[in-house]
Amino acid sequence: MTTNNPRRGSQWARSTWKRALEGALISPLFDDGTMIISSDHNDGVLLNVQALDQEEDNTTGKNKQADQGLQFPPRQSVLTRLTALIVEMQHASTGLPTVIQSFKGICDTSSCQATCGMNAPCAKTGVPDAFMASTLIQWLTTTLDITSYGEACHLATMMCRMGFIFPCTTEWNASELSVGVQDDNVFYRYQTPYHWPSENLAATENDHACYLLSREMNPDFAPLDEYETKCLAHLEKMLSHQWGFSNRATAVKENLLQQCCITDQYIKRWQEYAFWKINRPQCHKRSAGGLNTESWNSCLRGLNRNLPSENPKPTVVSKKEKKKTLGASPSRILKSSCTRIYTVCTEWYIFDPFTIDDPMYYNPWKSDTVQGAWPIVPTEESGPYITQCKSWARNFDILLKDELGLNYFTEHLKKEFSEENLSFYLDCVYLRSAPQSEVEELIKNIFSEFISPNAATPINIDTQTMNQVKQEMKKNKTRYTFDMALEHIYKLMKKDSYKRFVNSNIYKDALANSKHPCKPPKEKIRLPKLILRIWRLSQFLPKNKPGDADVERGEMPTLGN
Amino acid sequence: MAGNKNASHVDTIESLKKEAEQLRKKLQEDRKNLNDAELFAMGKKPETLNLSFQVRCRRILKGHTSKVLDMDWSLDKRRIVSSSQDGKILVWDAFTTNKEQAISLPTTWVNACAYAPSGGSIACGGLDNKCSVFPLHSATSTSGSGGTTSSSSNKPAVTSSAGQGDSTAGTIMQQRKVVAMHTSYISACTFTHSDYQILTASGDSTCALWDVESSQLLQSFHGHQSDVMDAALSPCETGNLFISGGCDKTAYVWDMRTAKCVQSFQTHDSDINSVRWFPTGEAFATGSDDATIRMYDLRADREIACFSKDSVIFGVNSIDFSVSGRMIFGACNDYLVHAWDTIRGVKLGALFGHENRVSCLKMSPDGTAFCTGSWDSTLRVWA
Repeated sequence: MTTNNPRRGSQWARSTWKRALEGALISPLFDDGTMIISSDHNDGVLLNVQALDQEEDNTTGKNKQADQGLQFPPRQSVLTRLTALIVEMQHASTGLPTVIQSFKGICDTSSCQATCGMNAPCAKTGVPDAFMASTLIQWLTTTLDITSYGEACHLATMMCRMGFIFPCTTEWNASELSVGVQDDNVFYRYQTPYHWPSENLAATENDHACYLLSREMNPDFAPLDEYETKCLAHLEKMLSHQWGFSNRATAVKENLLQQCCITDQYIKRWQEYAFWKINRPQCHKRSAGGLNTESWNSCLRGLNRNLPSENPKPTVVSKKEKKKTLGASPSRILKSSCTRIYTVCTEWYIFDPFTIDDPMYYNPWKSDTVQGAWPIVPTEESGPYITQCKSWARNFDILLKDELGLNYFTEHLKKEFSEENLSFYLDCVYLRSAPQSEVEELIKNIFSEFISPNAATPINIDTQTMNQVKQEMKKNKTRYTFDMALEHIYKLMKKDSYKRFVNSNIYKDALANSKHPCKPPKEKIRLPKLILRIWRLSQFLPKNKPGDADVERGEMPTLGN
Repeated sequence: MAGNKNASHVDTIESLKKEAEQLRKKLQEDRKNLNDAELFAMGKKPETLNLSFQVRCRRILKGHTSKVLDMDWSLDKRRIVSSSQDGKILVWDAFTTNKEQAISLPTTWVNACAYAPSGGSIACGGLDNKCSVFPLHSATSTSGSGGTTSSSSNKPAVTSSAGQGDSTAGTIMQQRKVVAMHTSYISACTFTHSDYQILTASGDSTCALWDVESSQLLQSFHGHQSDVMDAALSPCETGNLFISGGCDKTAYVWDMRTAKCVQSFQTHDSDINSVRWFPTGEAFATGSDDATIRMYDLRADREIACFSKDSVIFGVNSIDFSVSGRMIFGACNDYLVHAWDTIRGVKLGALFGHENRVSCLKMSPDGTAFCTGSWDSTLRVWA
């Protein structure tokens, strides 16, 4: 395993990008390549896990600068889709309509000519290709068929947080940004593809330093925030050996920028501002979503997906064989499968708390109080709950997993003199998940109790199954030894006993006796208690952010009519 | 002459390209028709009940200081175990939002956690490549408020700590039992139908079945070409099947007894993050980074539904069905939970609340609520 693969200019960057495309790579943070990456000749990449762990530790210290965690490209599929969306937005006829936005201080002919480096007359009247948040949201809603205003706003916000569009202002940060909310005066532009997350992988520390230096030189555009000042100081220490170079590079860049017209200068500065706001946000506990909160775990996964796998692909039962055994045509089978799913969905709704339409039904989670709101465990005396009881009639497996249901079922089986079937079933199920040390004894017990010719309570299985079981026992006693018999008994119970149970008096009485869980009683409230209750209630409800009170609760006003 | 040849070459290429494009479009349409024709068409029948989507956040559980990676419900329907990036595992009573127990692991990134059926212990694993089982305080086992309704409760639980009150870091680590050892990170772990067996899925592209008492490997399942991200056991107690999904975009159905792969499905365009069974165990759904949720049927041996929308762009991290299977909830990287109508294929709505990507979602055992955990370090219960 060769170590230490330092940056080698554009060639390295290109291969890095290629591997990142497969979602398998991290890029080193520091210019001196202190991140240990090794690559073998198969072009796979292996990580030094301890170094990453240390990196993580370093960033959890108190003086954590703007999240200088490792820079990882987010998984590509999202970026591809977002890029496609942006491209669609920019389509000439069906895309987002843009305007030339007038902006105070630029392209006002007199002041522009005074400060502009170009001597030729300027035809610009404002910032081109701009759009308001409302236009964007309207377009997203119609093109993507979004039904709620809140969702469209959220999608626009996510596009901004991923760095594809940006507001032309200098008073925002990625974590608090909310497109479409209280931003009537702000207009947006598309981010230049150079700064797209899909194009620009590793924003180096040197780049960051140059950016902060140029911000320092132009406090009129946007003065440095406190965290940015700290960051700059830290960078100066870190890059002290090449600080002169950084300064010179910044000076050159500024010089070039001054030669552009004022509008272009603003646009370029806004673009850069947006890029670095996303990539080096101010760090706080719940830091903004975006590129740099992707942690290396998202990259560790699937790390070697492009290496030839050591695993042979599993041999699946061939499709031809399957066809023979099933006998029916694929479309018939598909139809019957869909019918089964449809039937389950439409018949089980009566005990599904999310779809139930019984006004008397009480869901404890929806209660306002906590004291006494949790329903008591049902017993045979108190009777089962309605939803519980109804579910027993719908599906045999549900009945078998419900303790109370089993009690009723056992009673019914006693009347039919076939309760040994259920005992056998339960013992076998326990055997299959039993501790390995108990397996042998359990097999012996089950055999002597249910299967052997001298069994006290023999189960009713046909001779073929009996022979199969005996063969299994001779061969190799495992926890799956009784599977054949178990399947037989399960089918038997399902076809006979279960069907009769559902129509039996025992079940019908239980159903008649069943009720919904009780709502907690409303107590007479005196004023201090009322205040206390309101305070308690406020602890449970989510805190509303200013401006989107309804959005928090998933109840959103729909657009227009 | 040469020029003409070049021109004809170019023409051929162009026409071939056009043909390929046409074929592709036709294939897409055919595929769409085949899928639409069945399940969603049935859902359009007039007698199908219309759904009203009125889900809200009912509880917010705050206590983690870092990203929440995984969570699981206890069978008593109100307790939750959650694990996070800083190595902490918390056991909550979600109904009262009280924290009942905290365990600190020496490693970070606890990707998976699971509650034992008896409620007496929890399993967790992550970047340490191990899955460990911890006993819970006897106070948090099933007693008093809310009992289990599982048939396995008539057998004794594994271990329960005799001590009362808080467990210090020393004692809880002493009671730790390392059960599973993989060669890469653990991405998912779950108890099978009892406290004595654990099924794990790992980044080393294998799944494995372990005996808790002896930490013995009972069975291992090889076949995935890349990391396995999730595994789920069939809800049928008599079934031997479980499903797994991984970064090779494939979902496999395995037979636990023979360790053989019984079926495979590959229609996703990107990593599968989550697999869940349909309530009857005849079908299952997978959530993927390609922003779609797809449903596969075992008997039909193919994909039968694809839940996608142009406005849903971010990958799906975790999914779950409601009790009847009528609704599917998907937790996405755009911080939202999207809800779909299974038989109609329409998106019912989106739930706002989390401030960072939602990493896990699970329905409670009786389906009255579901819980989501997010990178914003909170968990939310919705009903």
